[in-house]
Amino acid sequence: MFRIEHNAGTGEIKEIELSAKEIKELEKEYADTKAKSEAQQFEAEAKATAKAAILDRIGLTSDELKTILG
Amino acid sequence: MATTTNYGWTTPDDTALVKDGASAIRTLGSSADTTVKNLSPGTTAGDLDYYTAATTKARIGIGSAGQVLTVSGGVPAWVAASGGAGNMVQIATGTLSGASVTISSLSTYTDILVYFESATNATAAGTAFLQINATASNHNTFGYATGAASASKFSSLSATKFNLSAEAYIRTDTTNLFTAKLTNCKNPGFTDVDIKSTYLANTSGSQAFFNGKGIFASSATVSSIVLSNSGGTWSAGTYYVWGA
Repeated sequence: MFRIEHNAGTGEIKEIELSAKEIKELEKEYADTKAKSEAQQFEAEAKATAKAAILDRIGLTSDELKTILG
Repeated sequence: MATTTNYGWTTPDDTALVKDGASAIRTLGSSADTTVKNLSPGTTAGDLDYYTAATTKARIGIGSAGQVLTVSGGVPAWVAASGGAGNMVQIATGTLSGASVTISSLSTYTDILVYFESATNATAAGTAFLQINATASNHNTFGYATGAASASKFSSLSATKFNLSAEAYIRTDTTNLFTAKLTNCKNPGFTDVDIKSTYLANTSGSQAFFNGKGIFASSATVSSIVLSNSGGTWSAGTYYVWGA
């Protein structure tokens, strides 16, 4: 894994290899973000499923509910 | 031995021996040579000389195009001319790749505009970040995002870097633009960061707009910025940096 360093003064662009410690820290950050993102996605989908189930039970569509609440 | 009034060059006494004349002249000439050189220390075309003490001078090399002469620490210094967006020039552009992109050698600029677009990463949805001077402190973002499933407010999100998006934009979608304008980059005390971004939000899939204000609470001059995202290494995108 590497990072880019672009010197705006000289225009030179270098690829710099990351140390083992830096890679470990980044992989942890990426894994944490992925887990958080998946949890948020799961929560949003669960909410949508629950909402659909309620609408189905009372026999209304989403648009009909919006009309009633509007 | 007698000495001259101003520079203290050694001269023969009235009673000195004639046979020592050559040595005395050589000593006096050497002293004069050293003094004249110190009074004219320039070595290169464009050099300017300035006093560092009553009788001592130093040289300062010519600045770069667009720079003006100012005072820093009691001596002359070349800095970028300040003046608003009209004077901004593009100083760097490239492709986003790797774990992060660092743009360095920015310390001559008072105002810096950075933006990147069509950014994606190879791993997972993540938040886009900007960090100043590779320093994981003194960063404070205050932001407001709309367009997602519900509007979200953020404050003091992270002290280690500035958020350029709310958590999180879709990694596979390239319809995005992240911008940050840094002002007072050489002002002791703080640098002001104005953030405006648009991207596809991860949880709702709808277009989100992120308005943020950042404060880099440090007396350090901005010398570099680091662009990264929390989802993974950059796999696509183009960055542009402008300075004045």
